[in-house]
Amino acid sequence: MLRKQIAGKLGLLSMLFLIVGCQDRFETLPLHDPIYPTSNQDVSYELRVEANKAIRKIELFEQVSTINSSGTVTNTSSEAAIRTWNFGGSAKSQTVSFTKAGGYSANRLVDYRFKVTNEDNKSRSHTVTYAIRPYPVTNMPAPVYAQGDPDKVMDCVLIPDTDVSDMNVWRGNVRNIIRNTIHREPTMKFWNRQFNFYINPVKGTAHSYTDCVDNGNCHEAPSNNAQLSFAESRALLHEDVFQDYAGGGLFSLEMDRPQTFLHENGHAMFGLKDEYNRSKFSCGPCPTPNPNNWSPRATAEADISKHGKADSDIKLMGIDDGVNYYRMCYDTCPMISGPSQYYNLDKPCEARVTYVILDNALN
Amino acid sequence: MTYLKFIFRTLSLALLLAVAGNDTIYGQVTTGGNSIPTVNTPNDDIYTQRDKVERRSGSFSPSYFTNPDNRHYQIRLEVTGQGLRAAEVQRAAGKIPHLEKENGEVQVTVRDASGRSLLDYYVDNPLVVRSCEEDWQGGALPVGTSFYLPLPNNSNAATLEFSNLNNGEPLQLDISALVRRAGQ
Repeated sequence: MLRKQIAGKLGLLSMLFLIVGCQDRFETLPLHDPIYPTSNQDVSYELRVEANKAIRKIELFEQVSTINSSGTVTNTSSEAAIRTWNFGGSAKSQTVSFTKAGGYSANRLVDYRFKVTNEDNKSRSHTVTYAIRPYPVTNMPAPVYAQGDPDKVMDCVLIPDTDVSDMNVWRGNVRNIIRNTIHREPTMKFWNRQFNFYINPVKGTAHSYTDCVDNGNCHEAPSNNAQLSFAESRALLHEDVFQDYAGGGLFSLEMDRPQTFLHENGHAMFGLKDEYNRSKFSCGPCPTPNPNNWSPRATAEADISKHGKADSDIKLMGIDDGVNYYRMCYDTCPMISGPSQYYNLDKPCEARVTYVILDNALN
Repeated sequence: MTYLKFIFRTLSLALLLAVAGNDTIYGQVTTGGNSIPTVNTPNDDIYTQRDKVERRSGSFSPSYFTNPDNRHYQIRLEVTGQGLRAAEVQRAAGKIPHLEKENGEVQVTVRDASGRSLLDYYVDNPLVVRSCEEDWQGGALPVGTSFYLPLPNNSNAATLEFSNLNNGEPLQLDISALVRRAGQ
């Protein structure tokens, strides 16, 4: 009788593990190239996917809308399957690509959707929307990698600088930023669907820190700046190399430095603070909840278990006006390190990013 | 009754194990464990949270920017020798972006003519220009230059208040005429 009861309980436990403990999980990273194609230009679609079960099928669909200068969609096609890949075996990661020869007509918005199905016939879909260049909507930034309701996801407008000599190269760098930030850094990658990227049709002009502070020549916002106010971050991407800064509601960076984008966007979009040693601290009080700078030390101590850290991980960053400031991320965290290498966010920054994404989407 | 208790305990254990395993999937997703923040769903599995967030996030539509309910205002503030001047208010497409609501360097409050708060948020000190290159530098935004802030979608916005700007001195600007001029 007892043996029967134990066997029954074990059976139930196994069933519950199967139902609850073994979710079907997919990480999908779709990307198109070029990121902002002109009419009739070939467009390549790529999907990198990882799953916790064998992948059986990947399908690619498209839906094309016509949009006018007022921003009204005047016609939308039915969604059509354009390619299917079938897989045997036990591979849990796949990369597929497909080129749409001849691309799309002018004044179009394209939705493409990858649907991934696993061995248990469970699936996940991932849709990206992008515009065909030039975007016809007057004064509005063109969505080039849009994935959600702008009110619920984090919006970033990338503004070309007047110093850019080749806009094709510049647009290639926009794609590079997407690939090497939200498709690369683990926390960003986990939340990669929570970002919309836009390219502004009007250029701005970035100035160096010293030119701004010493000479009064500061970043010049594009003339349609009010139409970018919805975005959580606005970045001026320039070609020349100089000392960048954030101010006036814009930040600037060299267009080919995704690592710098990760750092500066961390400030603009998520309120992350610098973690390197410095003489001045802008953080007092630090953003809450989930700060990545602390003062006094007791506030950092109160958070160490939350971040799986030890007391020895709390480092003094510097002293400002007699007040000590602390951090606990590792020494190569992107909020410390320069643009030379790729590093992942540590737990405190990760918690801040996740908090902001959830707060924006759910509240 | 005992059987129900057993089911409940087993279910709890299974859920606990499911949650505990999240931060190791593929060895790449490090979001998990104790650092998961809690917004509305304190004990949710992070993947369940993500599914919920993605469902809530819907899809992109350009109509978001043409919907009159989704507008707000943007103000341009100019640095002057005496402090700040409200220079221009413009209509802006889309809702205001995500803003710090709980804490930060400078508190910004938008009030109507009766003093009622219409919007309250925090920003980094907008009078400071920050550079992360060649060590941290934070110089003053020079006189004659501008910065921008979002205002709510409310044509009754009358004053813009800053607390803790310039060594704690509160500052209040009348913006009612500019908001009226920007129109509905």
